[in-house]
Amino acid sequence: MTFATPTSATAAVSAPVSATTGAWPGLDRVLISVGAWMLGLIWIAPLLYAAWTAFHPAAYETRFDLLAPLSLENFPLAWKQAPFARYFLNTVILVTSILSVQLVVGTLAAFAFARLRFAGRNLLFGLVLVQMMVMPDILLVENYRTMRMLGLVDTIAAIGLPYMASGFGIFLLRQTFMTIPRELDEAARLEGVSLLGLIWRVYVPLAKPTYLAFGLVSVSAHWNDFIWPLIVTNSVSSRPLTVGLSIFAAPDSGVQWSVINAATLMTSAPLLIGFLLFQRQFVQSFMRAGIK
Amino acid sequence: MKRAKSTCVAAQSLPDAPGLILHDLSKDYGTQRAIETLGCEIRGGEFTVLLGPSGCGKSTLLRMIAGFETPTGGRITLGGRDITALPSSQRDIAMVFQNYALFPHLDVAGNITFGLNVRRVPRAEQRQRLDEVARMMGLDALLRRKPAQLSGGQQQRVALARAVISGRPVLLMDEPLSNLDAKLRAEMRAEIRALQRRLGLTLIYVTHDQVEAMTMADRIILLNAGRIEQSGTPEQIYSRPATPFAARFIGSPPMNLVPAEALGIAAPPGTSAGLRPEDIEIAETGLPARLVSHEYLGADLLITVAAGSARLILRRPARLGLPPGPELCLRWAPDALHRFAPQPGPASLPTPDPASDPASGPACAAEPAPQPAS
Repeated sequence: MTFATPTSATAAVSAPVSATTGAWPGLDRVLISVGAWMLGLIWIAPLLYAAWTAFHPAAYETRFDLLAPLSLENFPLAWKQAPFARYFLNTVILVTSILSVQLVVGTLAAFAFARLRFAGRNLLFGLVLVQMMVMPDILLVENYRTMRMLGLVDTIAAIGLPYMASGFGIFLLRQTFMTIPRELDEAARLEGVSLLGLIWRVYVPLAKPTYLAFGLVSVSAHWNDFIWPLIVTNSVSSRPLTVGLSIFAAPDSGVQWSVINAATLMTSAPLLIGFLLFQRQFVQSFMRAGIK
Repeated sequence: MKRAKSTCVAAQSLPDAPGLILHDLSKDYGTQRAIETLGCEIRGGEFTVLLGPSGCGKSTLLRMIAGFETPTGGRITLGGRDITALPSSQRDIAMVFQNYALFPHLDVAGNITFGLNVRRVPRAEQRQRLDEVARMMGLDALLRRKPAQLSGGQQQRVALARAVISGRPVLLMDEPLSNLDAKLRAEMRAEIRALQRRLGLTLIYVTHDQVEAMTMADRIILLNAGRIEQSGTPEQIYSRPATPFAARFIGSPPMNLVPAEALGIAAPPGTSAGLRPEDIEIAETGLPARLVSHEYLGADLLITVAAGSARLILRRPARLGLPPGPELCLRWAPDALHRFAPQPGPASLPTPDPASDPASGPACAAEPAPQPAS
């Protein structure tokens, strides 16, 4: 009893103090959570709508009913109404060919900029950086003219060619290569590796997180690219998914929203699933590629 | 008597490792001269230490031998063959780097056999040489580990194993022990020394640590500001330092270096006199001095005394204790005294200041210090 009195007294005194100072951090956190949820909901709303309509009959396009019957009919319908298989193939070819050329060109260029000494190195690297600052859309007309000159209009190669020497990729890899200790380079040279052997055995394995991060950025960018493929292609055999989808979804084609949304889900599914599966690795590799 | 060859331990033992000769070697970085023109011989099968303070050019010298830097002038020959213009890989040289330079993405076995792999040595032979070297270095149990999973000492062993497996007769080491703690460093010193003896390697070892140099080297090349101050066996450099720099750099605490007149020695003006701390005795007669401070090291006691304006440190066994009073007399054997002629350039030694000279002192004998014989 004698001990309890002083402790309860101090508790009574300190309680109002902590209440007044504690109120603001609490409010802060609430505001931040509300804001984050709002942004998240706004971002995901179209996707949720697409998912809702895609899995329900057309009658429920604009009518929300929790008990509406589920249906998978929209997917085969969409698949049959347009050559999506071909579009998928085109996009996959496009994305993989862009990425593989980007990696080869980027690796060689980045190594040269990071470790070789040659006349005009800084000037050339400056030009690579300039490429990162020019919006690709500005070059649409010029690129089209070039493709026509090369006789490549309406081919998959024409969609990919302007992006194959990626300034961003070169820059990212160069920065990574420069963090690799010179001693590793020297130790390997002492053992007699050739220049290409050095890149392959030392630089590439050590830059793996950067390759993964860049690969993700490149694949998602070119999977989703729309304007340039729209302009440079005009046949089923070269059209990628995005363009195919937009033609399929054009208002005058008279297709129902539920079918369009089923097609939309189908076309974005590979990226979404891929990201969900490898989410942790992606985030980690971004951290490693960025922070190092 | 010489032992028969067959009793030698290692299968890879190199009968006679070639020596290196540096002919008038120099190196400039822009207008900055890193290595003054220098020449020296590094004998085959010997443990040679390039010793010097940081920035003295010892690493540059090593990197020129390895072929990572091109000399501005001069030539390097290895066993009579001019290697100045050869790429590193063709110089018959292996190297252990300061940070070990292990490939983080390869396991221990992969790291050790990296070079054999690059040179397309058949798998079976790789396997066999790996087993042999791994056993020798005590790495058998670690072959599947990645470098990040190893301790500093283990990483060091892997780096050594990678150098040894190449079978190259010349091994360069650039401050290989600087990242290890003191205990491990002492162990690795003995291990590296034993390995060098056993394989008969020509080993060139760069360090700024005089203890490493003294304990491991057959021969020390002492460098300062891009030039060779002195080269010789550890005993030679310790007992007969050629320059004041050599005198101060080797030995801990360093040699006392004071103007000759402060010790009452007749010499041309500007001459400095050097005395090792352990060579100075406290005696009944001799140079009068006053106790300033002392430092207890366990076995030894370091006593700082002021003799005139000069400060001297002397070392004596701690069991003898401190002298009874603050005033004492110093003596040394005649051949313990080193004289250094005046150095050209700005004098870095303190000049005696007569004003602060404490005239007092115990009644030391009239003749202050025994005169050296020479």
